[in-house]
Formats: sequence, structure tokens, C-alpha cells
Amino acid sequence: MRGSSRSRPSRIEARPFTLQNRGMDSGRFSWLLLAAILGLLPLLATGQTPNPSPEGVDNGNYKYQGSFEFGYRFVNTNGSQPVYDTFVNQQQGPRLLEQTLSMRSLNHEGVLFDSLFLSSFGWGGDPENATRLRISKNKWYNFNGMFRRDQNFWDYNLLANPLNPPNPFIQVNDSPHEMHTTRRMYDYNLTLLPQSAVRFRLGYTRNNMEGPAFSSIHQGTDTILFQNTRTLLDGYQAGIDIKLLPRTNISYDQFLQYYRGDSSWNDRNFAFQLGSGSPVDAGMIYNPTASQPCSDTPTPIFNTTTMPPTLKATCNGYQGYSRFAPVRTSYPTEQLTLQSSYFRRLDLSARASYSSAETEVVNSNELFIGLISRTGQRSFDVTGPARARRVVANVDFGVTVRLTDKFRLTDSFRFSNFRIPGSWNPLTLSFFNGTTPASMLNPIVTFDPAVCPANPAACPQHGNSAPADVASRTNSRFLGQDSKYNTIEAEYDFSKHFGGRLGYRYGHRTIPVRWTTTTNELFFPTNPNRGDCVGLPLNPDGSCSFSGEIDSEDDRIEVNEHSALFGLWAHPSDTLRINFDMELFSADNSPTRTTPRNLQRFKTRINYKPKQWVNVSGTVNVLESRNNVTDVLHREHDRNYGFTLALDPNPRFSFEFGYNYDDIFSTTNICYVIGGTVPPGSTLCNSGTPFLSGISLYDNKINFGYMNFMFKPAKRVTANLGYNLTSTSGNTTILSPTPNTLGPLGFSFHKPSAWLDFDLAKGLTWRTAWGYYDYNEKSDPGPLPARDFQSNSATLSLRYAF
Amino acid sequence: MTRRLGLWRIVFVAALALSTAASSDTNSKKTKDNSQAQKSYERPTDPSLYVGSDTCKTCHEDIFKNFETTPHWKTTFTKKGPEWQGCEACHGPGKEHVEGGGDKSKIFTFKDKPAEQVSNRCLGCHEYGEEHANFDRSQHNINDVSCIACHSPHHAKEKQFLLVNKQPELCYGCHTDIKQDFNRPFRHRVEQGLIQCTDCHNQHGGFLTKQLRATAAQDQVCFKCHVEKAGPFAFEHVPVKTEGCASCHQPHGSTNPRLLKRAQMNLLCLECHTLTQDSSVPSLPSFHNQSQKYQACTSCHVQIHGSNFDEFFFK
Repeated sequence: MRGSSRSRPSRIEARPFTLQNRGMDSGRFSWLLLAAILGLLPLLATGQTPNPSPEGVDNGNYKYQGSFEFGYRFVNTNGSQPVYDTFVNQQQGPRLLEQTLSMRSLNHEGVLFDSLFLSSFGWGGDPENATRLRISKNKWYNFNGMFRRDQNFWDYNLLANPLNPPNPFIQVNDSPHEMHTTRRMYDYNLTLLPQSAVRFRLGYTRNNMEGPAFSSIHQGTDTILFQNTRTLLDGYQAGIDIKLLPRTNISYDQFLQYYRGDSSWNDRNFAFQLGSGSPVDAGMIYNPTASQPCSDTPTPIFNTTTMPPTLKATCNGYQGYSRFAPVRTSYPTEQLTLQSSYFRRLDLSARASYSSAETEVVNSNELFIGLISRTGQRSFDVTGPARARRVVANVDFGVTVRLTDKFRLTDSFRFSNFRIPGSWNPLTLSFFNGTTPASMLNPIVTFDPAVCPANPAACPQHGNSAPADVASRTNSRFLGQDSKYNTIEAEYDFSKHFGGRLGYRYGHRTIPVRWTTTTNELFFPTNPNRGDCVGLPLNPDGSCSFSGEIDSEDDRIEVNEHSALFGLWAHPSDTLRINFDMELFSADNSPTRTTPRNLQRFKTRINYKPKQWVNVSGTVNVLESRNNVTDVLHREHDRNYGFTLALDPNPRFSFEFGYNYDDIFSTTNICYVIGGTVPPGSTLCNSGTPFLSGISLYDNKINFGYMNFMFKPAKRVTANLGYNLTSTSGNTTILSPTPNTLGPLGFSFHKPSAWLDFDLAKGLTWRTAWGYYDYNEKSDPGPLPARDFQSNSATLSLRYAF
Repeated sequence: MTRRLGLWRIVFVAALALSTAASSDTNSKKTKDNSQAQKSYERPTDPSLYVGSDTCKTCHEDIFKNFETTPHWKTTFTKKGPEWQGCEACHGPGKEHVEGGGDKSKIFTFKDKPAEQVSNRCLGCHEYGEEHANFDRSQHNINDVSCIACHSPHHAKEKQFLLVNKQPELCYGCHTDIKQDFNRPFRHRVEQGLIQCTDCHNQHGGFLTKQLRATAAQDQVCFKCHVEKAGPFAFEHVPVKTEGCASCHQPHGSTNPRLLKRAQMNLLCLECHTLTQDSSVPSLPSFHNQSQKYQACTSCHVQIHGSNFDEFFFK
């Protein structure tokens, strides 16, 4: 929240860079770019030969080939830096833009390895970096290693934004769920004796995400929390492949994955004060007419004569909030696979796996101090264990039978069953004031049977909406799904130029959903006969106890699905290829309102290559789906049409152009509530006031075009021009009155680019590259800061290849 | 019960038909031409039909020099018969071709051959293991797309896996409609090289629709990277597990934040959470006034993918 009267110190931690130090002023940038280009022009006059393809270097028993490109990127951004960082996030600085190294044993009998390939890109500060390594030694081993790192910056202000009416106190101009996290993924796989009848496989993966982020919490009012994101998954794999029979392989794999979620949350947003001077967080909602964080009468919410402004003590507010709940999940899985073409005309593949994941949260603690005005709670503390299991059994089976040389039958069967029982058993202690109305300036009073209820003034004060003072709940949940799918297809090759297939898929799903919630509650005076204790007798100390089930559900959804499948392929000539696929789907039930009961999918791909250097492709991809039952009337389609043209007549010239049009549309009947008073002329839903009947409309038209033009004006010079444009338009139902913006439904995103390569010497190339990003939304951004941005980036780099 | 019987009846009849056809075939002898169309290319074992790679080199020196730098060179080291070695491991016995003065009709050339014949040659060595086990039933194979549409043993642009082009351009060559997905503002970082098409899809076929891969625990492939959303949770958001991530997200890319299918978050939620006769999904409560903060569903329902601590996904 970059408010006029509110600072947000924690945001600084979330984004260590500032606008000023990330870019350069445009004047300086232009001079640098001009200098770089001019500095290169004299090179055109030198008379060196063009760069030949690198042949590599022989040293010892290995041939070395490699390249690296090192450079500096200049970036200058105007407009919304948060949105630039969310979409692009390329910053200024030196970079290792690309690197490759290959080593190949000359006699194919290296000591440790026969071949090695290492590649990297993006090191030095780009948001995406990766290093990939492959090493192999004939007959002995294959090793693949990969490390990937990506920075995930997110600050798009339209999502999860309460869209406060314009006010001088609290403005949410940034995303309440802003994040600046980094994910590091490690994947290592080793195959021993890869060409033997028995081979062994070992694997290790790690997925680690860390970084500052923001989250939000819903109590009396909602507020932004600082989220220290820390998740880690370690995965181990051991497997063996055995070829007992010719053309037959049996594999057994054991996987173990272990997840640790150590994220924690706390409130650091105490931008206001109470009358006592103690800091307080007023939350991120400001709508006094809706009593958020409280009503503006009889006294104003904020006293602006103090610094910082003083919050009315009877408002919803936070004086402290923290949550820590380390999650531990283990996923042991075993898998048996069989693949065989032992019988000449039969190919079969099967896989069976069993996984039993278990989540445990042993120590969790949530502490709130402040005020929830609706319930009068001044503080609560929640502790307790959570557990969940996920047991999955899968069996897959696929078979192809060649009945004749032209006629094949294929069948694929899939059985999948998962069940997820879960439980959460919290103990909640709630604390209240000794006075009414509740106020953050008044102390918390605990129940003391020696003085309460004899002296009501010495009791915690409870309104009718106050929860139990002590509550111990048992929440039990169960979700499962049993699904079976069988697909049978008959394929026929009419000639070597034309073939087709006809098939049928049957699916059956059963989804049981069950839950029960039981509670043991203790209500202290005053007003102990509240909530679940209404009408119950009191205990000797004046409190009231309740034990029992308060909620339960036992639901079961069954779905039968049928699909007709049809496909054609044709090669009328060597230069033309046509593919057509169609699926007609029907179901007798839908687990959700938007899950289709009827669906049609049509796909056509055409590729025409009249010359070796001319390639024309076209696609038509149409998806139509409906859930046309009464009071849902969900319809949607995604119609996509595109073509590309690629010309590559000689090494000195190439041209590529593509265009795609995507039409995404959806409409669904909905019921919603807007305002306290039903607008005149509105149609009510069957449930009556205040639910209004309406239509959720989503209509998005996306035009995408791109072109690339490469040419070599001189022997040592290669130039490339490119342009990439995405433009959207559309319409949608907007229920929130502010901001009345289509946002991402109407924008244009231009990305022109150009680069120029000079071959300086054998293997040495100087590159000057320029890229431009221009994002413009076509509708008014409303009271939020505009999300448009323009950004220039220039990269000067030197590439050496050998 | 009747529906279940119907399903098993279909499976049983299909399995019976397939096994009958397969077993009858194993007893039959096939002509040489037919053997080329069979599932596995059957290599002639008579050593006198083979001439060895060095003989091929005398005419095809350029190809041979390139072949020497590729992983296929390792076939020359095999101690199995000549039918598994060098050029003739793929192109078949070369004696007739040599004696015919280089007659192309006397040796197997991949160019202009039906996709299945091409793929059969490759799969003879490469089929075994989960990666290629379902190529026969893959969308590529049934659409007559063979191995050499993507791989080039002699003229690969990419040394790794001998690809004719690098990803994602290779995939865009046919899937032209997908490029625009990855050029939208909110997208997976495929164009940036962080992830590849084949991280999520098995290009060689698989058991799941769209040839999707799965996690090691046989869950949706999305959870391989987005591990914190995998659960299991004490409180599951049901459609995440039953309908999949794509019920709310456009997996390749979207014009909407978080790759959502709707521009307005509340519409996405309301389409399911509406009081209705045809769904048992909880509807929104009467105080969820859409003109107030309640239009921003996930500002309160933060843990929308599943929670261990709150049935309403607040925390």
C-alpha cells in the first residue's frame, strides 16, 4: 500500500531494488546505445573473413567444442515498474548470457566419460537461469544433471485487491499478495549399465522456494501479512530395468519424496497508533459505510492530527499477529512397469503404482492480539495438530494389436483411485475485555471463578456473537475419487498417403466427499448461554459446556462419460501434410457447474512445404463445451485459428511470419449479492433476497502476430529484426463498482527487437541487441496506479566459440 | 452396478479380441515385406548379408564423419551380430545395395517411408523404458508423425537427442497455436528456456490425456514445481484434485493474472459457488457483497488450493 499517509516498511524487504537504481535515465541510455553502435561501425571496414562454424579443439583424447557469450544489459523502464517486473523482470547488469561446452572422446573410449555436454544461460542476475549437464560413458553410465533457478516477482495490483473506495487513509495500490521469491530446482539422474539386460537408475530432485512475500488474513478486518516463504522438497528415486525376454522390459521404481513447508506469517504493518500511542494495524480494508474497519460515526475512524494518525480503539484492528505451522509430508511411491513387443503383432505397456502420502503438522500456533469488533475477541491463540493422507493406486494398461499390415486396434485402460482422509484438531482460547464495547485500549480480563460471575464487572464481557472461550474441535474430512477410463480405437491406413481412426472412450468416476465436525466448548460468563450453549444448563462455576457434532456431510457424485473419437491424416504429396482430430463427449453428470456435460473438440493441422525453403503451416483448434442443465446454462468455447509462413532460401536471408486469433468465450448463470438494497428491476434468484440472478460473461479475443527477418548485408555482419504483438479485446461482467476496468481483457503488448552481429575474428562475435516492451491497457485503470509500462533494453555482448 | 458390469464387459471383450488376434499372429509366418510393417523390425541374422560401416564410408564419407560424432556410434562397439552394428543396424543389410552399385531400392532408406516403418526401426532399440513405452499409442504416432520428424540422426541441429531444432521452436513447427499462449503476459517461462514442453508432456506418448506426465507420486504434473500446492491437505478444495488445475487455470499462458480463466476473480468463483439445484458446492453467503471487499475472493480465501487449518481456506 503506497498510501499518501501510510508507509509500508516491510515492502522494502520484499523488493530490495528501487525504481531509481534499477534503470537508467533515458538520455544516458540513448548515449550509451549510440556509442556502442558507433563504436562498432569501424569494424565493418576491416577485411577479415566471416566466422566459420567452430570445428573444436582436439586435446588429448577429447574434442572440445564450446561457446560463451558475456555481456552487459542496459535497461530503462518508464511506467509501472511493478508490472514490468511481474511480466519481464530483466534488470541491468553484467550477464553470462549463454555458455556451452561439449567434450567427445576421439576414440570413443574416454577414461571417465565418452561425452560431456554442459550448457548454461542467464547467470548474473536474469530472472531465469539454468545449467544442464549430460555425461555418458558407453555401456557404463548416463548422467543427466540440471539446475534451474527462477525469480518470481509478482506485483499485479488487480488481483486480491479489496478495491477500496478513494480515501485519504488506506489505499491498496500494490498487490496484497506481492512476492519476490526464488525457486531453485535440482534434477539429477544416473543410469548405470544403460545397455545391459539389467540396468539401474538413481535419481535425486530438490525443489526449494524461498523469499519474502505478502499474504493476507481475514479476521475482523483483513490485513496484509509478511510471509517468509520457505518450502523444500527432496525426492529420491531408485529403479531397476530388467530385460528377461526379447523385446520385453520390466521396471521397478521406488520413489520417496519429502516435503517441508516452513513458511511463517506475521504482521509488520503497524502504520497507525491507538490513543495510548501503541502501534496498531488498521488492515487493508477501508469502507466506513460497510463498517470496515468500523463505522465512521459517531466519531471518525482516524484522528489525522496525530502522526501517525490515531485509529479509533473500537475498530477492528491488529496489535499483533503471528502464525507458524511447519508442514511435513512424505510421499513414498512404488511403481512397476512392463513394456513388451514380444509377440510380433502385439505391443503392450502396463504400469501399476501405489503411493501413500502423509502430511503432518505437529506444532502449529496462531496468535492474534487486537480487536474483532463483531465477536468482541481481543485475542485468540490456536494450537493443534493437523494430519492428512493421500493413498493412490493406479493401474494403466495399453495395448496395440496389428490385425493386418494396415489395420490396428489399440486399447488403453486407466484405473485410478485416491482417497484423502484429513483431520485438524485445534484448541482455541479466546480472550475478551472486561468492559463493553470492546476496545483495544481496555485490558483483557480472564475468567476467575472466585470473583466471576458473582461480580459481573470482573468477568470477560461476551456478546451474543462471541465464540466459546475454550473450544476444542475435531474436523474430519474425506475426499476420494475412483475413476476408470477405457479407450479403444481402430486405426486403418487406406494407403501410404492416407489413414484414419475411429474410437470410443468410456469413463466412470465416483467422487465421495464426507465431513464431520465435533466440538467441545466452554462458555464463560458473562452471557454463557450463547452460541452452541443456548438453552443448556450452566455448570456450578457459572460456565456452560457443549459437546457434540455441529456439522456433517456425506455426498457422493457419480459420472459416466462417453466420447466418440475420430481422426484422419493425409499426405497427398510429399509436400503436404494434413491432420484432423475430433472428439465428441457426453456425460450424465458434472462434479462442478463448469465441468462440461457435452463437449466437442476439433483440431486441424496443415503443413505445406512446396520447396525446401518454404514452410506454411495452419491450425484450427476449436473447443465447444456446455453444461446445459437448468439454472446453470454454462457454455464456453475456445476457437483458435493460426498460420505461419517461414522462408529460408539461403544462409543470407530468412523470414518468418505468424498470426494467431484466439476467441475465448464463456457464459454461466450465477447468483450474487451486491449492495444491501436490491436494485429496482433486478431478477432475484430462487433463493430470494438478497441474491440477484445474473450472467457471468467472459469474452476475450486475442490477436497475436510475430515476424522475424534475418539478413546478412555483409559477409561478417548478420542482422535480425523482429516484432511480436499481442493485442486483446473483450468484455466481462463486472460486479465490483470500482475500478470499472477491463484490465487484462483489453491491452496491447508490443515487443519489437533487433540485433546485429559482427564477426570480429575466427570464433569471436560482437553482438548489439535491442529489445523494447510496450504494455498498454486499453481501459481506464480506475483509482489504482496504471499498469502500463515501456521498457528499452540494450545488450552489448561478446561471443566466443571454438 | 449395471454400469460397472457394462464397463468390465467392454474391457473383457476387448482384451479377448486383442489376445486372440495376437496369439494367432505369433504362429504365422510373414513375408519380408510384411515384416517391415510389423511392430519390430526383424533384423536378418545372416552375417554374409552385411558389409560393415567402413564399406559405407567409401561412398558416404560426409555422413560417416558426422555419424562418428553422434551417440549412435556406440553401436559399432556392440558384441552382438553385424545386424546391430553401425549403419546397417538402422539401414539393414547393405550387401545388395553395394553390389547393385548403390541401388537405393536395395537398402532401407528412411526418407519417404511410412511413419510407422520409420519409427519401428528406431523403437527396435529405443522402445524399452517408460519414456518410449507408449509411442505406439501416442498422438504423434497415430497422426503419422515419426521419430525423424523431430530427430535427425545425420543432420541434427541440436546435438542433444539429435533434434532437428531446439525446443520450443521444434514443437511450434506443428503446434503453431501454442506459441501465442507463451507470449501472453502471464505464462509459463517456456520461451525463456526455463522449462520445456517436454517437462510437462511426454512427446513419446503416455497414459494420460494430452500425453501429460505426472509427479513421482502419480499426481498432476503441475505439482512437480508447485510443490506447496500438492497436499494432501486436511481441507482439500475438491476440484483441484478431481477436475485438475486446468479447471481454473490456463496452463500455457493467459491474459489474466495467475493464468486464470477469468479476468475477474469473483466470476471464476461464483460460476461454481452459486446457489443452484444442480450442484452441492457451497454457495456464497448472503453477506458477500460484491460491491465491497468480497469481490476479491483470495484476499480472504488465501489458501485456495487447500489448507490444513481452515475449512474456508483462510490460512
